[in-house]
Order: sequence, then C-alpha cells, then structure tokens
Amino acid sequence: MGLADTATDLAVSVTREAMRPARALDRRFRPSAQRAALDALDRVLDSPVTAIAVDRILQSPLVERAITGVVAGPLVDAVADVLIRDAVIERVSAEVVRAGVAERVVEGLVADGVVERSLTGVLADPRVEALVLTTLESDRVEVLVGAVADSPGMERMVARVLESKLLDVGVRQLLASEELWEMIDEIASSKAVTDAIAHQTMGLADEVADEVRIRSRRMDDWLDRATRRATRRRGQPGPGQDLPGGASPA
Amino acid sequence: MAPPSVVPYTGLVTRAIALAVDALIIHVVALVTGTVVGLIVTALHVPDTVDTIIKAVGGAAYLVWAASYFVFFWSTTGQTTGALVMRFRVLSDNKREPISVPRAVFRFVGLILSAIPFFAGFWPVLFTRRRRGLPDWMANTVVVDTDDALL
Repeated sequence: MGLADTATDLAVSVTREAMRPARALDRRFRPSAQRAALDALDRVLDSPVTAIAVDRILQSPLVERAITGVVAGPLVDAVADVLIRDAVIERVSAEVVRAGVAERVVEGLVADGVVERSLTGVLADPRVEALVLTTLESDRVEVLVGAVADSPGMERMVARVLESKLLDVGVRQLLASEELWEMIDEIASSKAVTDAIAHQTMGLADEVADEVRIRSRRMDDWLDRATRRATRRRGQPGPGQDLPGGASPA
Repeated sequence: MAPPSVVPYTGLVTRAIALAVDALIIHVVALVTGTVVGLIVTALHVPDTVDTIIKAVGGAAYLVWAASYFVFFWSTTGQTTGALVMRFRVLSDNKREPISVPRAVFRFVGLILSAIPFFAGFWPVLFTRRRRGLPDWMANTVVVDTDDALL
C-alpha cells in the first residue's frame, strides 16, 4: 500500500467522523421540518392572496406568451414524435375499446338524449346543409370515400361495429321512436312506392304467365309429336301450323 | 313471291289452362254472388217453395252468367280472360275475325257438349291438323296464337 492510499483512507475516515453529528441532527429534526414545510404550504395555498396572485399570473400577457412560445416551439413536435413512435394513441385506443368505455359513453349519451338534441341542432343549421352539399360535390371526396370504403381497416371497423352492443342499442332506440314509423307510413303510402309495387307485381304476374305459356306450348308440341307417331301421320305440316285463311298447303 | 305466313294453332294444353282460368273467374263470381243471395234468403226465412224457386233461378242465372261470359268475349275480342293470359284468340275460320253472337252461343253449346262425355269433344284437337275440337266444328272457328301482350 502506497502513501497516497493511506492518505485517502485517512481523509475518508476523518470526513465520516466529522459528518456523524450532522447525520444525527438530520435524523432528529427531519420529520418535524417536513411537517413544518407542509403546514407552510397549506397556509400559502389557503391564503386569498395566493388565489389573487395565481389569477393575476394566469391573466397576465406573460402566461400567454409562454403558452404561445411552447406551442410554436419544438416541444409540441417532440411530444408528437413520442406519441407516434411509442404508439401511445393506439395503445390507449385499444385499451379504451377493450374496456368498453366507448360503448358505455355512447349508451349514456343516447340515454340522456344528448345525441338526439345535438343532431337536431346540427341538422337544423342551414350552414351545415351548405357545407354538406359543397363537400359531396367535391371530386376529391369521391376518391377518398372510395379508398376508405375499400380499405381493410374499414372492413374490420364495420365488423366490430356490427358485433358491438352499440348497434343493438341504436336499433332498439330507432325502432322505439314514433317518428320512424310515421316516416315509414308516409313512404309506404307515397305514390311512387305504390306505383313501384304495382308495377313489380304486374311484372311478376306477367313473368309467371310467360313461363306458363312457354311450358304449355312445349307440352302441346310434344303431344302433337306423340299423336302423329301414334297415328302414323307423315308428310304433313308442322304441329299446329297451317296457312292463313283456312287454306291448306298443297 | 313471298312465302305464305304460317298460322300457329293453339294446342290442347294451352286451351285447357285458359279454360281453367275462365272457369275460376266464373266460379268465384258465382260463389260470391251465391253466398250473398244465400245469406239474404237465410235471414228472410222464406218458405220452402220460394226457396226451391230461388235455387232454380240461381242455377239458371249461373248458366246465363257462364254463357254470357264466353259469348261476350268470343264475339267482341275473340279472347276470354284465360285466352288473354295464354295469348290466343277464337276466330271465324273463313274471315279470321271474332265470331257473331249467335255463333258464339252455338260454340258455347258445343263447349258444354264436348265436356259431358269425358271431354271427348276436345280430343280431336290432338289429332287434327288445325287443332280443332267439336266447338270449333260446330261454330266453324279456329283457335290461333297471338303475340298480343297482356299489359
């Protein structure tokens, strides 16, 4: 062992011995100091002056500048990078779906009539109508809708919606609504629908009659051939055929 | 010179189906009418003699109704409802047009006579070249296919 090592050990020992009283004081007074600090914090938080001070800080241009700076700065991009890189949104979404949170939320909203009120308000707004018409007339929307409809993700989502209780609840609510049946009655009694049904019915009857006609004439021809074979009629015109005006072929 | 056009004569099966359609219409109308009259008579409690007379009149009315049905259609368009469905016409053999009322009555009599002995009056349709049965011989008619659409 060298002289340097001996000196180092000596210094450590001396320091340890010197800190011993400080550690003893720390163990003795730390709990009471912590309690005193928390009490002081509580008094500060309960103070009306603190509330006024916080309000003034929040209303000050300083906070606004700070938030603007944060939003415009690289922090937002960094957070977005982290969310995307670690698939945070996907994980949260999967957990929300697995726990049935979405279904519970929707059921609650539907039961409270929030959805109905919101939809009524939105649909009554003429700006919404104009927006929908403009959007629907866009070529880009058509392309996008086609791409979305053909995507496997959409298939999975539709399958999941069909399997969920959400659809059952929605259908039950819909079937229970009086407006729906009034609308169905109105549509069913409309001239266009009754005309279409009548046309379809007559078309079907005509199809059946056509089929019967074809089969009956086929049977007639078969009977003709059979009777000609039985009576050995040969060299005569085809079955059931003759010249008009009652004339017979030469 | 253009070749003469060929006239397709209607066969026995097609005519039988048309006759069944006509019979269905005649019987449904007769049944509804008979039911209504029968209910009224039952409610009125008429004597037996009157009841017998009503039955005789009803039978005669049924015969008149059936005859009128065939005579009216044969003498106007040449097509009963059954013939319209199966697309054929009853026409006079010489002029190829709908027959007169007396000939239509005569043809109806032939129709009844044909049905009595096991429909024997219709069998010649199977064996004759122009597919004519006893009613056709009696009224000098032929039954020909048409292309008239039903609707």
